Amino acid sequence: MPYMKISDALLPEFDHEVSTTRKLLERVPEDQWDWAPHEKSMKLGRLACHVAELPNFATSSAQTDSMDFAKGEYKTVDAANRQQLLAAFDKNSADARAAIAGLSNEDLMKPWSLLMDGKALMTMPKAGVLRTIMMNHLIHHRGQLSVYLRLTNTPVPSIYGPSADEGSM
Amino acid sequence: MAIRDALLPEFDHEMATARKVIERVPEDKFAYKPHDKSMTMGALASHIADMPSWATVSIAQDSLDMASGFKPFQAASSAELLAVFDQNVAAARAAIAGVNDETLMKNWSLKRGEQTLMTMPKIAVVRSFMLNHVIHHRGQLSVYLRLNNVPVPSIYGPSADEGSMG
Repeated sequence: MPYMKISDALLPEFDHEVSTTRKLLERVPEDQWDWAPHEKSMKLGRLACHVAELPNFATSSAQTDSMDFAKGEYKTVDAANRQQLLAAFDKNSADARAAIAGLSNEDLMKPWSLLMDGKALMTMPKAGVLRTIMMNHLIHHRGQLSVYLRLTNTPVPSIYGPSADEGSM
Repeated sequence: MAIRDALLPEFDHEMATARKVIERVPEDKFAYKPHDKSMTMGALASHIADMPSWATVSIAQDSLDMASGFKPFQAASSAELLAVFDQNVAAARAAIAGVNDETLMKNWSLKRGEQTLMTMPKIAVVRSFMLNHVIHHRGQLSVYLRLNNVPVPSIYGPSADEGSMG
Protein backbone atom coordinates (compact mmCIF):
# COMPACT_ATOMS: atom_id res chain seq x y z
CA MET A 1 0.00 0.00 0.00
CA PRO A 2 1.37 3.41 -0.88
CA TYR A 3 1.42 5.98 1.93
CA MET A 4 -1.91 7.74 2.16
CA LYS A 5 -2.61 11.03 3.87
CA ILE A 6 -5.50 10.53 6.30
CA SER A 7 -6.84 13.97 5.37
CA ASP A 8 -7.09 12.86 1.71
CA ALA A 9 -9.34 9.99 2.78
CA LEU A 10 -11.42 12.24 4.99
CA LEU A 11 -12.03 15.19 2.68
CA PRO A 12 -14.35 13.52 0.11
CA GLU A 13 -16.48 12.21 2.98
CA PHE A 14 -16.43 15.63 4.66
CA ASP A 15 -17.51 17.32 1.41
CA HIS A 16 -20.32 14.82 0.92
CA GLU A 17 -21.67 15.16 4.46
CA VAL A 18 -21.35 18.96 4.41
CA SER A 19 -23.29 19.12 1.18
CA THR A 20 -26.09 16.91 2.57
CA THR A 21 -26.13 18.94 5.78
CA ARG A 22 -26.50 22.18 3.87
CA LYS A 23 -29.56 20.76 2.08
CA LEU A 24 -31.26 20.31 5.47
CA LEU A 25 -30.21 23.69 6.83
CA GLU A 26 -31.56 25.38 3.69
CA ARG A 27 -34.99 24.02 4.60
CA VAL A 28 -35.23 25.04 8.24
CA PRO A 29 -38.50 26.99 8.33
CA GLU A 30 -37.82 30.50 9.63
CA ASP A 31 -41.29 30.86 11.10
CA GLN A 32 -40.69 27.79 13.30
CA TRP A 33 -37.33 28.85 14.75
CA ASP A 34 -38.61 28.48 18.32
CA TRP A 35 -40.53 25.27 17.71
CA ALA A 36 -39.54 22.24 19.78
CA PRO A 37 -41.07 18.75 19.64
CA HIS A 38 -40.95 18.33 23.45
CA GLU A 39 -40.36 20.62 26.41
CA LYS A 40 -36.97 19.00 27.06
CA SER A 41 -35.89 19.24 23.41
CA MET A 42 -33.67 21.84 21.80
CA LYS A 43 -35.60 24.34 19.73
CA LEU A 44 -35.41 23.98 15.97
CA GLY A 45 -33.32 27.14 15.50
CA ARG A 46 -30.89 26.14 18.27
CA LEU A 47 -30.48 22.61 16.87
CA ALA A 48 -29.76 24.00 13.39
CA CYS A 49 -27.25 26.48 14.87
CA HIS A 50 -25.58 23.67 16.80
CA VAL A 51 -25.15 21.70 13.57
CA ALA A 52 -23.59 24.82 12.00
CA GLU A 53 -21.15 25.12 14.93
CA LEU A 54 -19.77 21.61 14.80
CA PRO A 55 -17.30 22.00 11.89
CA ASN A 56 -15.39 24.36 14.25
CA PHE A 57 -14.01 21.35 16.10
CA ALA A 58 -11.92 20.55 13.02
CA THR A 59 -10.59 24.10 12.89
CA SER A 60 -9.77 24.04 16.60
CA SER A 61 -7.96 20.72 16.36
CA ALA A 62 -5.80 22.09 13.54
CA GLN A 63 -5.00 25.37 15.29
CA THR A 64 -4.67 24.44 18.96
CA ASP A 65 -4.29 21.49 21.30
CA SER A 66 -7.40 22.14 23.38
CA MET A 67 -10.71 23.92 23.67
CA ASP A 68 -11.86 25.26 27.04
CA PHE A 69 -15.64 25.58 27.40
CA ALA A 70 -15.23 27.79 30.49
CA LYS A 71 -13.10 30.30 28.56
CA GLY A 72 -15.53 30.88 25.71
CA GLU A 73 -13.40 28.94 23.25
CA TYR A 74 -16.41 27.06 21.93
CA LYS A 75 -17.82 29.52 19.40
CA THR A 76 -21.59 29.35 19.19
CA VAL A 77 -23.65 30.23 16.15
CA ASP A 78 -26.53 32.48 17.15
CA ALA A 79 -28.31 32.87 13.83
CA ALA A 80 -31.70 34.58 13.95
CA ASN A 81 -32.71 33.52 10.46
CA ARG A 82 -31.83 31.11 7.66
CA GLN A 83 -29.54 33.53 5.85
CA GLN A 84 -27.37 33.98 8.95
CA LEU A 85 -27.48 30.24 9.60
CA LEU A 86 -26.25 29.37 6.12
CA ALA A 87 -23.59 32.10 6.16
CA ALA A 88 -22.23 30.74 9.45
CA PHE A 89 -22.34 27.14 8.26
CA ASP A 90 -20.61 27.99 4.98
CA LYS A 91 -17.86 29.90 6.74
CA ASN A 92 -17.35 27.28 9.44
CA SER A 93 -17.29 24.40 6.97
CA ALA A 94 -14.88 26.23 4.61
CA ASP A 95 -12.54 26.95 7.55
CA ALA A 96 -12.82 23.32 8.66
CA ARG A 97 -12.03 22.04 5.19
CA ALA A 98 -8.89 24.18 4.97
CA ALA A 99 -7.91 23.04 8.46
CA ILE A 100 -8.34 19.34 7.63
CA ALA A 101 -6.39 19.71 4.37
CA GLY A 102 -3.47 21.19 6.31
CA LEU A 103 -3.19 18.39 8.88
CA SER A 104 -0.41 15.83 8.34
CA ASN A 105 -0.78 12.26 9.61
CA GLU A 106 1.72 13.15 12.33
CA ASP A 107 -0.39 16.13 13.44
CA LEU A 108 -3.48 13.91 13.49
CA MET A 109 -1.91 11.55 16.01
CA LYS A 110 -1.21 14.39 18.48
CA PRO A 111 -3.58 14.73 21.43
CA TRP A 112 -6.30 17.35 21.72
CA SER A 113 -8.32 18.00 24.87
CA LEU A 114 -11.73 19.33 25.68
CA LEU A 115 -11.40 21.34 28.89
CA MET A 116 -13.67 22.83 31.52
CA ASP A 117 -11.72 25.60 33.23
CA GLY A 118 -8.42 23.85 32.65
CA LYS A 119 -9.64 20.40 33.69
CA ALA A 120 -9.66 17.83 30.87
CA LEU A 121 -13.10 16.35 30.14
CA MET A 122 -11.59 14.18 27.43
CA THR A 123 -8.36 13.82 25.49
CA MET A 124 -8.03 12.04 22.16
CA PRO A 125 -5.87 12.10 19.03
CA LYS A 126 -6.82 14.92 16.65
CA ALA A 127 -7.95 12.28 14.13
CA GLY A 128 -10.50 11.16 16.73
CA VAL A 129 -11.69 14.74 17.14
CA LEU A 130 -12.30 15.02 13.41
CA ARG A 131 -14.10 11.71 13.20
CA THR A 132 -16.10 11.61 16.39
CA ILE A 133 -16.56 15.10 17.86
CA MET A 134 -16.89 16.78 14.48
CA MET A 135 -18.24 14.39 11.83
CA ASN A 136 -20.21 11.77 13.79
CA HIS A 137 -21.57 14.39 16.16
CA LEU A 138 -22.77 16.48 13.22
CA ILE A 139 -24.44 13.46 11.56
CA HIS A 140 -26.18 12.67 14.86
CA HIS A 141 -27.74 16.11 15.23
CA ARG A 142 -28.51 16.28 11.51
CA GLY A 143 -30.49 13.05 12.02
CA GLN A 144 -32.43 14.72 14.82
CA LEU A 145 -32.98 17.77 12.61
CA SER A 146 -34.47 15.54 9.89
CA VAL A 147 -37.18 14.46 12.37
CA TYR A 148 -37.83 18.11 13.27
CA LEU A 149 -38.25 18.89 9.56
CA ARG A 150 -40.68 15.99 9.20
CA LEU A 151 -42.68 17.10 12.21
CA THR A 152 -42.97 20.64 10.84
CA ASN A 153 -44.18 19.22 7.51
CA THR A 154 -41.01 20.32 5.73
CA PRO A 155 -40.01 17.97 2.89
CA VAL A 156 -37.06 15.85 4.04
CA PRO A 157 -34.25 15.50 1.47
CA SER A 158 -32.65 12.18 0.61
CA ILE A 159 -29.84 11.61 3.13
CA TYR A 160 -28.36 8.08 2.89
CA GLY A 161 -31.25 6.85 0.80
CA PRO A 162 -34.67 8.11 -0.27
CA SER A 163 -36.88 9.88 2.28
CA ALA A 164 -40.69 9.65 2.21
CA ASP A 165 -40.61 12.85 0.14
CA GLU A 166 -37.63 12.63 -2.18
CA GLY A 167 -35.18 10.35 -3.94
CA SER A 168 -35.39 6.79 -5.18
CA MET A 169 -33.22 3.69 -5.31
CA MET B 1 -1.25 2.09 11.04
CA ALA B 2 -3.74 -0.18 9.33
CA ILE B 3 -7.12 1.40 8.62
CA ARG B 4 -8.85 -1.29 10.70
CA ASP B 5 -6.86 -0.26 13.78
CA ALA B 6 -8.15 3.31 13.47
CA LEU B 7 -11.67 2.15 12.72
CA LEU B 8 -12.24 -0.47 15.43
CA PRO B 9 -12.18 1.77 18.54
CA GLU B 10 -14.62 4.15 16.84
CA PHE B 11 -16.82 1.25 15.72
CA ASP B 12 -16.87 -0.16 19.27
CA HIS B 13 -17.69 3.21 20.76
CA GLU B 14 -20.52 4.04 18.35
CA MET B 15 -22.05 0.56 18.54
CA ALA B 16 -22.00 0.66 22.34
CA THR B 17 -23.89 3.97 22.23
CA ALA B 18 -26.29 2.61 19.61
CA ARG B 19 -27.05 -0.33 21.90
CA LYS B 20 -27.82 2.01 24.80
CA VAL B 21 -30.34 3.80 22.60
CA ILE B 22 -32.06 0.72 21.15
CA GLU B 23 -32.19 -0.97 24.57
CA ARG B 24 -34.56 1.77 25.65
CA VAL B 25 -37.10 1.40 22.86
CA PRO B 26 -40.28 0.38 24.70
CA GLU B 27 -41.63 -2.86 23.26
CA ASP B 28 -45.20 -1.56 23.52
CA LYS B 29 -44.24 1.44 21.37
CA PHE B 30 -42.86 -0.44 18.34
CA ALA B 31 -45.83 0.80 16.30
CA TYR B 32 -45.41 4.44 17.37
CA LYS B 33 -44.51 7.00 14.74
CA PRO B 34 -44.22 10.74 15.22
CA HIS B 35 -45.74 11.62 11.82
CA ASP B 36 -47.77 9.82 9.14
CA LYS B 37 -44.76 9.78 6.83
CA SER B 38 -42.30 8.59 9.48
CA MET B 39 -40.97 5.07 10.02
CA THR B 40 -42.40 3.36 13.07
CA MET B 41 -40.11 3.19 16.08
CA GLY B 42 -39.83 -0.61 15.69
CA ALA B 43 -38.85 -0.30 12.03
CA LEU B 44 -36.34 2.46 12.80
CA ALA B 45 -34.69 0.45 15.59
CA SER B 46 -34.70 -2.69 13.41
CA HIS B 47 -33.09 -0.71 10.57
CA ILE B 48 -30.29 0.29 12.97
CA ALA B 49 -29.88 -3.33 14.11
CA ASP B 50 -29.68 -4.49 10.49
CA MET B 51 -27.09 -1.98 9.41
CA PRO B 52 -23.81 -3.31 10.83
CA SER B 53 -24.22 -6.24 8.40
CA TRP B 54 -23.37 -3.82 5.57
CA ALA B 55 -19.78 -3.88 6.83
CA THR B 56 -19.75 -7.68 6.81
CA VAL B 57 -21.25 -7.95 3.33
CA SER B 58 -19.08 -5.25 1.80
CA ILE B 59 -15.91 -6.85 3.14
CA ALA B 60 -16.86 -10.44 2.23
CA GLN B 61 -18.35 -9.76 -1.22
CA ASP B 62 -17.74 -7.35 -4.09
CA SER B 63 -21.42 -6.55 -4.61
CA LEU B 64 -24.89 -6.97 -3.19
CA ASP B 65 -27.90 -7.57 -5.40
CA MET B 66 -31.02 -6.06 -3.87
CA ALA B 67 -33.14 -8.08 -6.29
CA SER B 68 -31.97 -11.38 -4.79
CA GLY B 69 -34.18 -11.62 -1.75
CA PHE B 70 -32.83 -8.69 0.29
CA LYS B 71 -35.34 -8.22 3.09
CA PRO B 72 -35.24 -5.57 5.78
CA PHE B 73 -35.29 -6.92 9.33
CA GLN B 74 -38.35 -6.18 11.43
CA ALA B 75 -38.02 -7.13 15.09
CA ALA B 76 -41.09 -8.51 16.87
CA SER B 77 -39.69 -7.93 20.37
CA SER B 78 -36.94 -6.12 22.26
CA ALA B 79 -35.16 -9.42 22.82
CA GLU B 80 -35.11 -10.14 19.09
CA LEU B 81 -34.03 -6.57 18.30
CA LEU B 82 -31.05 -6.76 20.65
CA ALA B 83 -30.11 -10.31 19.66
CA VAL B 84 -29.98 -9.38 15.96
CA PHE B 85 -28.08 -6.16 16.70
CA ASP B 86 -25.51 -8.01 18.83
CA GLN B 87 -25.07 -10.74 16.24
CA ASN B 88 -24.63 -8.22 13.39
CA VAL B 89 -22.20 -6.10 15.43
CA ALA B 90 -20.09 -9.14 16.35
CA ALA B 91 -19.92 -10.31 12.72
CA ALA B 92 -19.09 -6.79 11.47
CA ARG B 93 -16.39 -6.40 14.10
CA ALA B 94 -14.77 -9.69 13.11
CA ALA B 95 -14.91 -8.71 9.42
CA ILE B 96 -13.29 -5.32 10.08
CA ALA B 97 -10.65 -6.84 12.36
CA GLY B 98 -9.65 -9.28 9.63
CA VAL B 99 -9.46 -6.95 6.63
CA ASN B 100 -6.33 -5.30 5.24
CA ASP B 101 -6.04 -1.84 3.66
CA GLU B 102 -5.68 -3.25 0.16
CA THR B 103 -9.05 -5.04 0.35
CA LEU B 104 -10.69 -1.95 1.87
CA MET B 105 -9.62 0.08 -1.17
CA LYS B 106 -11.30 -2.37 -3.58
CA ASN B 107 -14.63 -1.40 -5.08
CA TRP B 108 -18.00 -2.69 -3.93
CA SER B 109 -21.25 -2.27 -5.88
CA LEU B 110 -24.88 -2.14 -4.93
CA LYS B 111 -26.93 -3.73 -7.70
CA ARG B 112 -30.49 -4.44 -8.62
CA GLY B 113 -30.33 -7.32 -11.08
CA GLU B 114 -28.15 -6.15 -13.95
CA GLN B 115 -28.34 -2.51 -12.92
CA THR B 116 -25.51 -1.03 -10.80
CA LEU B 117 -26.95 1.52 -8.36
CA MET B 118 -23.62 2.66 -6.93
CA THR B 119 -19.97 1.70 -6.72
CA MET B 120 -17.52 2.84 -4.06
CA PRO B 121 -14.43 1.58 -2.22
CA LYS B 122 -15.24 -0.89 0.56
CA ILE B 123 -13.88 1.52 3.16
CA ALA B 124 -16.45 4.10 2.05
CA VAL B 125 -19.23 1.52 2.44
CA VAL B 126 -18.08 0.81 5.97
CA ARG B 127 -17.75 4.49 6.84
CA SER B 128 -20.72 6.06 5.07
CA PHE B 129 -23.27 3.33 4.49
CA MET B 130 -22.68 1.58 7.76
CA LEU B 131 -21.24 3.83 10.46
CA ASN B 132 -22.52 7.29 9.46
CA HIS B 133 -25.84 5.77 8.51
CA VAL B 134 -26.25 4.11 11.94
CA ILE B 135 -25.37 7.42 13.63
CA HIS B 136 -27.94 9.25 11.49
CA HIS B 137 -30.82 6.93 12.36
CA ARG B 138 -29.69 6.67 15.99
CA GLY B 139 -30.06 10.48 16.12
CA GLN B 140 -33.59 10.16 14.77
CA LEU B 141 -34.38 7.43 17.29
CA SER B 142 -33.18 9.68 20.14
CA VAL B 143 -35.97 12.14 19.21
CA TYR B 144 -38.51 9.29 19.13
CA LEU B 145 -37.44 8.31 22.67
CA ARG B 146 -37.76 11.91 23.88
CA LEU B 147 -41.25 12.17 22.39
CA ASN B 148 -42.24 9.07 24.35
CA ASN B 149 -40.81 10.46 27.59
CA VAL B 150 -38.12 7.78 27.62
CA PRO B 151 -34.90 9.11 29.21
CA VAL B 152 -32.37 9.83 26.45
CA PRO B 153 -28.84 8.57 27.22
CA SER B 154 -25.78 10.74 26.83
CA ILE B 155 -24.63 10.37 23.21
CA TYR B 156 -21.86 12.88 22.35
CA GLY B 157 -22.53 14.98 25.42
CA PRO B 158 -25.15 15.21 28.14
CA SER B 159 -28.82 14.89 27.19
CA ALA B 160 -31.57 16.73 29.07
CA ASP B 161 -31.86 13.56 31.17
CA GLU B 162 -28.38 12.18 31.71
CA GLY B 163 -24.68 13.05 31.80
CA SER B 164 -22.87 16.25 32.68
CA MET B 165 -20.00 18.40 31.47
CA GLY B 166 -17.16 18.36 33.98
